[in-house]
Amino acid sequence: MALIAWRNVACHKARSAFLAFCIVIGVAFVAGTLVLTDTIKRVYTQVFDEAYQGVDVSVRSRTAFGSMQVKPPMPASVLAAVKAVPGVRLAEGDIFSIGGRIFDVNNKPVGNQFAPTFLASWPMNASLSSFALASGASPSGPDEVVIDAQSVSDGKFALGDQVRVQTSTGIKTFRLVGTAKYGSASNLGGASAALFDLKTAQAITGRTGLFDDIAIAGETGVEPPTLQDRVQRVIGQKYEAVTGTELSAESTTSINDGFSFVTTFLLAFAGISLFVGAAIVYNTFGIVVAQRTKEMALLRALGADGRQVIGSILIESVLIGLVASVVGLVGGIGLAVALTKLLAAVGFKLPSGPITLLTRTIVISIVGGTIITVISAIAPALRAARVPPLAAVRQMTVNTMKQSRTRFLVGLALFMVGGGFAVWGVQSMKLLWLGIGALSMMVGASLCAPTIVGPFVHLLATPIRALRGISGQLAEENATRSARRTADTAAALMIGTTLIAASLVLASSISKSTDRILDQGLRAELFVSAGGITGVGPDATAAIAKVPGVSSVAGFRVGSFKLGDSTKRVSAMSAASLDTSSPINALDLGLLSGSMSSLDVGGLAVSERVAKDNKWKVGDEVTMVFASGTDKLAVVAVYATSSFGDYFVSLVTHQRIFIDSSDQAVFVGVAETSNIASVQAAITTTLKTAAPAATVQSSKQYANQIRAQVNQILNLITVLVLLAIFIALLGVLITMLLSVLERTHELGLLRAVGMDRRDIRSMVRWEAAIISTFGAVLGIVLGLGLGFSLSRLLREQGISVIEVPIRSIVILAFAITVAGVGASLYPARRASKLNILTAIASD
Amino acid sequence: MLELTNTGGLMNTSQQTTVAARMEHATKIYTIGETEVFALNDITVSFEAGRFTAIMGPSGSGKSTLMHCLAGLDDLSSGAAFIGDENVSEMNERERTRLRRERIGFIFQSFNLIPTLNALENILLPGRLAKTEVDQPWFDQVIARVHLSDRLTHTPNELSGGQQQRVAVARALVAKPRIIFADEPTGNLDSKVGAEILQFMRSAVDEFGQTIVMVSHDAVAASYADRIVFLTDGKIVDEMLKPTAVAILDRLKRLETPGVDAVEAVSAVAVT
Repeated sequence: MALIAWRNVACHKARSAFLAFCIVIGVAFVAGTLVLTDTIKRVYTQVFDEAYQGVDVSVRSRTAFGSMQVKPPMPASVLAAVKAVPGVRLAEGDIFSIGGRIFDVNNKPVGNQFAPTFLASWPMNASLSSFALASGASPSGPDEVVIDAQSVSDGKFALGDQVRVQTSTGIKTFRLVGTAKYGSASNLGGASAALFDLKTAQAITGRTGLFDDIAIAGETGVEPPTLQDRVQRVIGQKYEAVTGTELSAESTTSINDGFSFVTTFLLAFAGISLFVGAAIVYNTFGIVVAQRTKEMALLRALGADGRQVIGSILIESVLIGLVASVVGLVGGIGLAVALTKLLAAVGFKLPSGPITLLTRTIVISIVGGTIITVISAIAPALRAARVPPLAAVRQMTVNTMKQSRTRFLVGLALFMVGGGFAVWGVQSMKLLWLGIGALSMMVGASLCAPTIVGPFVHLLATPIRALRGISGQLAEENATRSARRTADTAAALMIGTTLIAASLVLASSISKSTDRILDQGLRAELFVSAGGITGVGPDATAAIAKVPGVSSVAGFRVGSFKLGDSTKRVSAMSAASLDTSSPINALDLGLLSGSMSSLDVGGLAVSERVAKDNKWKVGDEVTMVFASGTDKLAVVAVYATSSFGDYFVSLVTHQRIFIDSSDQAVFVGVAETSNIASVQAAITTTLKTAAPAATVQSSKQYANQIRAQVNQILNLITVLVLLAIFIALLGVLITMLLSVLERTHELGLLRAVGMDRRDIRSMVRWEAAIISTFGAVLGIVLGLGLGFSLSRLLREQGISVIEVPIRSIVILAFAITVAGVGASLYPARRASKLNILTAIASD
Repeated sequence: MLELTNTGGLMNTSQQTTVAARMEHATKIYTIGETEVFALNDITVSFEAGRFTAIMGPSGSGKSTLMHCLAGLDDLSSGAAFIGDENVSEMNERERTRLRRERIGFIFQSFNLIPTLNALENILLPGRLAKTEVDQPWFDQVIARVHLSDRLTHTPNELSGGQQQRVAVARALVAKPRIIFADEPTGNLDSKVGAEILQFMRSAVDEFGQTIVMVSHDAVAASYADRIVFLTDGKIVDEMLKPTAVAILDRLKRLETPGVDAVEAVSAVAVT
């Protein structure tokens, strides 16, 4: 039986290679993602281990959640207390604050806009420092700075240059005296750092006399955990002591979390590719088994038992799966290398280190890839084992492969349960549930699909019959003769189409919602923002206010808090800028009850939706957990539109809670007598010195910018989904090719009674068109549902309108159909080139 | 040998009358390995319109090749084949396809029907391919003659072997082709059903003036023909008019005895 399996692979090289290829892409993505994750983890573990080498214990403020949240600084008294702990050899307080920016000679921010720039103090004791000098000298005095080596090379700085740095207290110019390494790396996971002496660092971050962390080295013989205990006892519950090892592990995890959006994204597409690949292996083996009925029956007649027949098919699938997995693994390593290059190109340059290939990756790729291939072949193999020996002598009949009732019921159940999950996911805003639901619905739809092939194809083929006559009719009959084959081939196309359609709906909803946000309630004419996670800078708002023609400026800030288990976003603006009766009103949220002016006395304004969900009304107290501690705020107003956020506090409250005093964005009102464009130009000039990273836009320009960003993400998704569609198209190709082979005799007969080659080609192509349209329509129906659900689920992220981009959806359907026809060109050619005589003579 | 010269004479005389198909100095050579085998060896033959001709001969005698070359399904190595006055050998692929759907009807031994189309659609297939109107009275007449009126909506796998062949005959007749080629049409049927099919073919010739050329090695089947052409080793070796089964068997016995060597020689070549 192994011999037969081997011969089958050897005799059908093209088919085997093709099937292997369907699996290769998925395995390569899985392997590539694993290799990338492991490599990132290893290089950073090394970097942080080196960075925290001299630190036995570190002390910091305890935060309620999230390590990236701004930590309140500690007073000097904590340092004094720590120094007095027995066993402490060295203790030093430092500043380590986010919110900086380094500008190059062209006034452009250096480094990646998605990573922070740290403003930190240079340590007095080199052994306690995470940073080490790479060149030059350490900073001393209020005018000197040391910058990480990566930013120095990115910004093309030389020692001695004057460098402009945005600090919490404004933009200042410093002299570059040295470059620093973080551990052995040229920077900290893509983030930049500007280092000053302690006093300067405290001054520019508004932390005079305060520290962010205290690094401690113990005396010889005192174990870090012992020291940690002793220190913790002295500093009290408001602060926490962690060991250097814990710190290193924590930092590595936080870097990994930072990259997790990349790896999750990649794994999702790996999953989709594998799923589609498996579907095609299943379908292909199904067709092959049906065609080999006679051969199977002959084997049975010669004495092979059912198990041996199953064995021969499974061995064939193991061979294909193994080859595919090994090729996929190698491809995955290549993919990981390419991805690190790509990450470097967008600003996340990994510290140098070898690519990490763990045994686990090899095992998962090879075992996983093979098992998926084999599992996909099991059902067809079981079917083959049921072929009775008598079939060998019977005449070959049309292979109908009718829909089985069980399959339909299982499919229906999966579809319904998936629908339930999806609805639950949307209601509770849990993406994972929606994902599981959508996957289950897709599988369910694939299982049910054969039942609707008949009516659907008939409907679809009516115009084709009218147009193409007999070729059209035969194409229809061929598409319906094996409903399962048609459905399975279409289902593979459906998956990719679903994802693209859903992304299209989501993207268009985001665009439309942005428009609505800007149309509704925006009273200010201009909008100033800086890309990335750092705001416009503390000087910007005041500077803009001085520009002639500007009638009002309103800073806008954000922060996060916990309400129960979920993290929410809170927005902050001054009460006057939200009050419609005020002359400097920038936003009209649509006040329903209460008054916005009470916001300044420490109140909270909430949207109608949130108020309804939590049964809050004006006067109620809400307990909000911030990173820095828990606060009780009274609801002072309820407003209608959620477009700018569901929770609003005043800037004063925000400053008290979040320490940071830099605005995220600024709404600018233009005096009625002034020309908006010239005011915009004047602001642009002002920003060049006050906040070089910020840009000023009209609401229309801002909407276009959002749209461009959304489209960029949409394009990325589309490119990855195209892989799945490509695999599905190969599925169309192999299905049509196998169908043509199966129908050799019929094609011969058609040619003999006068069908010409063109008609034959047209017949095969129309069949492919029918199959792919079926897949496209199924995918679009599911995709619209998924896109709708996703948009609903993200309602708190500001998606207030759901829009279906009809034009793009129609283009998508058309493109999928055309691609399906493209995939059938070769099978169609093969069909038309058949030699009539051998075709008729064939069995 | 008398019949051989007679064949040539017959061709000359019938050219002015009505010749449905003919071959002139037709040679077909197959290359097996490095050996050339003559499937047709300089054959000149005519098939008169409105008559039922059978081509007989042992396996490998070239009888199927002769039919395939006349129908434009296969190429001659040299010589010419005509359907009416149209030279099949000079036609390209497209012209041959047109010729097949407009001038020729086929009845094969088995698998004559498209499994996805029902009986009626199968019968109308050549007409739809040629985009010609159905001659309704003629269609009704044919359907009545082959007793298929109540089976028209059945698909091939719902029909018996005999019914399937009747559909095939009806398909060939409804298109009103100049000539029908039948390749062992009763080879897969039992004798009673086979006789029924042959009777239909016979009456198509007698009642409708249809031209039929049938390849067969069955003496009983061939006895329905007006004329039999005997082939051995790619050559016409004999001919018989108004044959009876007994006479055919007798003639075959005479022909096959010297032909044994040649058949064995061919199989020996095929093995090496």
